[in-house]
Amino acid sequence: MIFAPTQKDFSSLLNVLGRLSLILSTFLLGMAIVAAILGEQNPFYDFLITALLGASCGLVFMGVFRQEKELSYASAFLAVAMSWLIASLLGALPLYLSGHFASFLDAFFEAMSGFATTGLSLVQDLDHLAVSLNIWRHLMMFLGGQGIIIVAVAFLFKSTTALGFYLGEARDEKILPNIINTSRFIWAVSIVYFILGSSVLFFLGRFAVGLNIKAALIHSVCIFMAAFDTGGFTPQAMNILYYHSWAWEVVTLVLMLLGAFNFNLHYFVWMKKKTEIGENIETRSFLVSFTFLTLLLNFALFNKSYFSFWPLYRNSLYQLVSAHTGCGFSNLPLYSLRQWPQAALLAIILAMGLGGGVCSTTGGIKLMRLGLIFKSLQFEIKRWFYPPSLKISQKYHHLQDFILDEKRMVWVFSIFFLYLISYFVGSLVGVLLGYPFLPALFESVSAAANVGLSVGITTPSMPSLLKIIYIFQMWSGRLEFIAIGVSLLTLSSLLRHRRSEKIY
Amino acid sequence: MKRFIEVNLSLILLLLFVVGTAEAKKLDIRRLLQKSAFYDNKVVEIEAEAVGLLRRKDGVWLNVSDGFSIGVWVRGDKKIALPTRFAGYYQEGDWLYIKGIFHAACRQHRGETDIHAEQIKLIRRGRKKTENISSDKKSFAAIMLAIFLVCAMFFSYRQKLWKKKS
Repeated sequence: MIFAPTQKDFSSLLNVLGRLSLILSTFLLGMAIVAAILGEQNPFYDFLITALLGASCGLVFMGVFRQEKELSYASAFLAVAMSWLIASLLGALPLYLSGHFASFLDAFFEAMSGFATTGLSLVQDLDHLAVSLNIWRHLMMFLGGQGIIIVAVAFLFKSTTALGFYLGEARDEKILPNIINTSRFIWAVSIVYFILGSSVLFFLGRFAVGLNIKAALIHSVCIFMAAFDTGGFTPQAMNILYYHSWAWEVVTLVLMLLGAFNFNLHYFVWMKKKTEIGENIETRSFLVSFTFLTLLLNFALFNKSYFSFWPLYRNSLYQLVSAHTGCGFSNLPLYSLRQWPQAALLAIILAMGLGGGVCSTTGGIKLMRLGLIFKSLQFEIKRWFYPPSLKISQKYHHLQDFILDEKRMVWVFSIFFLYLISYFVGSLVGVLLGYPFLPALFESVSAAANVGLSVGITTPSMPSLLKIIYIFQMWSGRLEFIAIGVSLLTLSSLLRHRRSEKIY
Repeated sequence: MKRFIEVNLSLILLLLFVVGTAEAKKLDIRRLLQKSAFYDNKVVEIEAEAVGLLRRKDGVWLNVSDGFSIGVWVRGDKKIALPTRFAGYYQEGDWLYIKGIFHAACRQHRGETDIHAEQIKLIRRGRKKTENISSDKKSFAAIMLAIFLVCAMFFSYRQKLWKKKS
């Protein structure tokens, strides 16, 4: 049966969007209070105006459109896709009003980069940006990384609507049988890591790095949010190099890795079976790809300027982990990556393109799909060794043993090819606009896989068309394309239905 | 005539030297980072704003920026006056002249790109700027507050209406 949305679907959808707008406004109001505490008057008014605007729109939507029925999956996917756009529009407004962005498009780019946990930035003169706005940049990453809708799901919605939202946010797996409990668990895990991670960073920042108390507090919170949610924004323009501390880098590496692994794996390791970490298809895929890429990177950088031990391992491994986990932190000076040999850049591009675990905060193809593609190839090769009459199967382990089935593989290959198409289209547009191929590919993969490393193309002076392409890549990459596709179909179906209702 | 040529030649060479020195003083961080292999282990001179200061046991890390940023290592035993004002919100950091040895991948600091300071001079003291808020912004916030209150009343009225109907 084809989904034919009704007036009630349309009304319920707008009601949900109104509620989400109201939730975001609450966070913006919170930021206005932070700005007031910090004595930053302009950001206070900017946050207040945006919060009131968002809340007013939310109330109007909720007042005019009633939630008359639970949302279908298709409508929930549309709500998810729309909510990312609404969040970025609202999130961009205080940034734009700060005067640190050349245009509203740049501020919107920054907000989308934040919510999609990408980390590509168009901010100008970051070192003079208000502290409250800096915290907002990082908070957007935290909210986006956890899933904007997950915030709502955990507290506001009924279970049936919640599942649609959850799937729409590119999370294939439930952790607990009930989706609301799953969302709450994800938040509980994040809060525990938040307390632990930012405490470690605070003490390290205060006593090893040499920050004063206020700076240690702000930097530890911001860096935690960007590292655990594999975002990549930093409070200072120097990125991680600002801290001149290998210990700080080690802690951020651990946080990046924690954020890049499947929340289900966290649950299993916490609650059930510690050995799962060694048996899981995702961790195994990570070990294989990471080893291969490390060898490739070392081979490419060996005998170049990075010949001695520390530069080779400290810098190259940090970029590699940062790229593979989709975080985008860098301990290199700005745009130094472009001086790396092409083979080294290729290794980083591959790491970015692959990404981390499913049901985590990373983007990209994901380790599970990489593992399943290899398993599928293994199965195809194995098939030719046995007589055709023999029925063989391929197993894989992810929390429990599964048998590789065709339906699953169609899904895996579909997402895999959609990512490849996105990477290719982004780099093609870059090349058409006059950039060399490899940097264009690097930046395109960085945007589509929500990583945030840059070789220098992403600047305020880059063409607007490329900014729009990267915004689309970040948005669709975060939601893994399917939500966008379903949303477009739902939208056209909704509009067609409304038109036919008017005619008859 | 020979003497005249000699004097002129000396003057030209002196002028070239002065221009060359001035050129070195104008070195910006972007160029330094882009040509890091060329400037590696050479004495460089930059002018930049103080962005941050991190105190360590054996010295101080001074982060500076002229649009591009770099870390400057100041050894504890060097008697160099350190900046006191740093870049921030409505805060201009001290503008500094820094002379030191540039390292593309410093062996002492585990491969970091840095400058080991020999000399730091204060060019311009940083200052706190006054934060002005336009009256338009305040008025707009007041208007938005009024709109929000109207929307809240409208929402509450609709809620009551729906409750009555159901």
